[in-house]
Amino acid sequence: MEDPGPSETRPELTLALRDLGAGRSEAVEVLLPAVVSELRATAQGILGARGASHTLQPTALVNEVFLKLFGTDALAAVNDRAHFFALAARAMRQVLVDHARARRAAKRGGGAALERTLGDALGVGTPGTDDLLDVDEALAQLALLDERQARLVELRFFAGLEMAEAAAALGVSLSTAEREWRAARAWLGRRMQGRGQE
Amino acid sequence: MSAARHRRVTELFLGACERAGAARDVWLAQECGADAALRREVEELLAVDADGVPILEGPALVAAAAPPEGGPALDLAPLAERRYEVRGELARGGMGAILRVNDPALRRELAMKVSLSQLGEARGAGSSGSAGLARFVAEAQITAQLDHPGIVPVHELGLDPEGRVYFTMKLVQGRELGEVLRHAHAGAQGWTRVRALGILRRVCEAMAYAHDKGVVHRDLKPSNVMVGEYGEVYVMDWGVARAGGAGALAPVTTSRDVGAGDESALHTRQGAIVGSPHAMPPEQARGEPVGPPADVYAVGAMLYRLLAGRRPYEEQGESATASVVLARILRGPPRPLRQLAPEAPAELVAIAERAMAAEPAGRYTSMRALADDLGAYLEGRVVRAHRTGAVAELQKWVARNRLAAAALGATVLAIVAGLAWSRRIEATSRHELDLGADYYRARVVSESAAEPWPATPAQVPVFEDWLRRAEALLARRAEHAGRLRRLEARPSADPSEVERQRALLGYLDALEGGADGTGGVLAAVRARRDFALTIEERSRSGPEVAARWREACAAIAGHPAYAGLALAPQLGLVPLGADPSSGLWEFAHLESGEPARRGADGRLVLQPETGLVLVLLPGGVFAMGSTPRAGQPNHDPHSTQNEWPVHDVTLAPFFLAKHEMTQAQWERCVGRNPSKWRPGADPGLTPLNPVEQVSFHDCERALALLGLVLPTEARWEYACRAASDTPFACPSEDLGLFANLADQSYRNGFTGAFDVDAFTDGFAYHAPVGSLEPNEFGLHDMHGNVMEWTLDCYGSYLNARRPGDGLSLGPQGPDAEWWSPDYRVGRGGPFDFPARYARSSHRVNISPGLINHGLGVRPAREIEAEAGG
Repeated sequence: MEDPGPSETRPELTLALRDLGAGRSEAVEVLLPAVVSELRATAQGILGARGASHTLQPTALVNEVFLKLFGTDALAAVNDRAHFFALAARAMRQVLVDHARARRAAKRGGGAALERTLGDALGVGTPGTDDLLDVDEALAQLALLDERQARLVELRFFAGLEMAEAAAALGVSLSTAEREWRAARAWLGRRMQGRGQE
Repeated sequence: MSAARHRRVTELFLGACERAGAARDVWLAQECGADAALRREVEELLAVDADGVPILEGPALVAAAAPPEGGPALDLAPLAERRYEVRGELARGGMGAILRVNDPALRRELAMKVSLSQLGEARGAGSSGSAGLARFVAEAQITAQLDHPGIVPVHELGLDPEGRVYFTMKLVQGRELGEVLRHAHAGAQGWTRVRALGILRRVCEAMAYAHDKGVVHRDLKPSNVMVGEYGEVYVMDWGVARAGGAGALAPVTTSRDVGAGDESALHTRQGAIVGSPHAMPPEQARGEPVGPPADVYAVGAMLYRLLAGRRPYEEQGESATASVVLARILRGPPRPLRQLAPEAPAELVAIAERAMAAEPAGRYTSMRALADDLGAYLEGRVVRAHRTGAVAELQKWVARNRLAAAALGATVLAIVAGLAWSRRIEATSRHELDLGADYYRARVVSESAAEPWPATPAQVPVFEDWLRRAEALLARRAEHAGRLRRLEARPSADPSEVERQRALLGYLDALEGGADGTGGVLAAVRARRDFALTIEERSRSGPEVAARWREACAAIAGHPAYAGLALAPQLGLVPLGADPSSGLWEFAHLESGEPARRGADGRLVLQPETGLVLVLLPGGVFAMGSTPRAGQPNHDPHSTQNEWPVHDVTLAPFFLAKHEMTQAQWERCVGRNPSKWRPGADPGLTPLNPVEQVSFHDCERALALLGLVLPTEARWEYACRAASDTPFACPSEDLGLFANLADQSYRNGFTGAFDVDAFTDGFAYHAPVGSLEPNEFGLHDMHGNVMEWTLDCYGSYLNARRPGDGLSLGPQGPDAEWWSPDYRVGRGGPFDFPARYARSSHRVNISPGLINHGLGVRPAREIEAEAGG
């Protein structure tokens, strides 16, 4: 089979990825910008196509981006999936939050009429960009109280991992992940309702 | 707030989640003491938990891609002023009521769906009402976007003077599809199978349209389809439908999220599984994201009901509760249609089975494809009718032209040629239809080969019947290859017909296997038939083995541990004598491999080709569970609440495998080795290492092939304890001799290990079975190596158990304890977890579909009461 060619993958990134696998977490600083910019380019199509039906899951998106950046060989060398997923989740979170911010700015700046929809009147609108920013904000607070819970939410919500995958990435049992997820979800929900500021 | 306090709040919240009602209040009051703020915080978390956090239910990518507004702008004031005259109530559910109303302006009757909760309530309390209202509004908005003759049109959405939200829609007069299916099955009230199939096809067409619009129904069932007086079909109740994306979001709430032991919640909570879940696909029952394949499954379930005369997962005349049905869905496929409706056309059975495939990927790729297959079946009949017509036309032509022919002096010739031609057309098209039907036959044959038939003498006729059908199909192989060539060469050929023909040849290839006839399904089934023919002689009636059984039965009857057990010779087992240390009798299981041999010291020598060894365990009363209270029986400092209380369980005698099932044994049975750590992955790994990466369903299927079962949790803990009442069945300081766990040698293989124990067992991965010391019953690796699936659903020990094998029966009656039918229990800890996860009493709840490199299986077998089986 034809090799994708050296121009496709970047050796400095591959090295950083290997460092990450070896537990040198500062490698994230090298990797993150590249992953984020690539993810953003790929995600643009999906997020831009408003209302279009799409089946691409975040995990698939992330995998696609990583393959593009590092090639299959480099990925096989990462024996520690936990670091890989943590990196992916952080990148995904950054891309989506940036996207939501841009959208909110456009909505306000564009001076769109503030139509009262029935959904607005009921206070039950579709989860939209603002909710995403709320999650991001609340999650930043949670990270100070319980880093593991915050990482779990990043993996599940932003990287779209299944519970079992997230549990494996965190090195905890499935039941622990289920329980921590439930607790984190309730905590975030409460915080987003404007309570729990004590 | 400090991290320590957050941890405390988390623990209290999770503890409260495991309790309900007054027990929860009492416990919280006790735990929080005078700290009112703490208590309030936990209560608020519980309220949020009960309501759900919608945005967190699906991945962020989906939320980010959703349109920012809920729907079109609406002016509320004029809507509130509108008046309808209420004529009666048609139905009422947890969410709202459906009224029959009159619209005086247009002089027509309409159906009006009204939400029971009021706008003010939803705003005020921030309670579950707001999510319910959102769903209600979403239903109206989604339905309104669907403009199709098969979907009931919505007219308007508004607020009534009391502040309740309503929407109006066409009033459909007719009957529910369930009634139609019942009549059609019975051939009553003018309903026939063909007529009902026409209705199902129209359901498919409506759903195909909705799917094209990106809307998934997610609650499609016969009670949500109305059949009008003139045969019109309406798909209704889009209350849990999901728009904008191919169903990338999970249901808002599934049984997993429902409060512990709260059966009624299953029916009433917002987003909950409403009504009967018979038509629910397994992925939805597991609470996974669902998409269009879920609706495909639901139509398959309707077809199933039409053919079988009962709903899937329901016994004749039974009315099972939702949680029982859910548990059955999670256990495996419904009773095969071939069994329930042997007279049903094979084509329809095949269509239903494909639509209801357990894995979404196994179903029709689209609703359209399902509609096409139903159409092909229906048109097959139409084509036949046309053919008769063509023959009639031809004979008319001959008759008409007889005069002309006579005038030409060739009357006789014309008639003879004409009639011969017509007969040929008839014969050709009948044969052509028959060849086309072979696709369905081949599918049924191929798929039924994967069914778990135990290879016993009683099954020989089943094997022979299957072989006959498969051989008949293979005899037409050359003809089918020719048909494919013809179809491919014809530009006007129906693409789906070509596709089916290709698939058919694929099935035939798989049946036949390699050029020498090996490796094919046919050869495998022949081998199983031959095994079934000889098993009686090899395990019971042969003179040498009969003598061994006589000796074994006599020894067991006189053995103090077995308390006078009168064991009959067991089909498929051969006695291997008693274990020199435990004194318990052991048996070779012939179908899983060659009988094990004992070495000079009386211990078993295992080879890759060795079959399972089953130990006859005497059963009796044992104390199950553990307690953290020192000085009590089964004291265990790591005991957690799901292991409480310690309670007595009585078990009848049974067989349990001495070792975890090996990779070689699994591969012989299933045809492949799914394990991650298999020979070649690392030098220390052998075919005798335990099989892993097998799901609960994989295990049930494989064991059924071998006439074996999964042990119940009670059987497993009894066997693991082997009469001990300590956390492990060996002294803790000797764990390295008895159990392969995450220890120092594990760390040599896995640098990223999160925490490891101080001892050394010598293995980085799982070890070949039997490498470490056995317990007092002679069983190896009960602690560690791989975690083992058990049969039970995960639930409280306060639920009742089945007499005999101790299976947890789940909530019985009003005093139900917590119970999670969507989890099974794993026992005995994997090699990559520290020792406390492998304690005798430790329980892990696991989704039955989970595949993990630390999760394997140890089979059990029931004792057959009498010889003869």
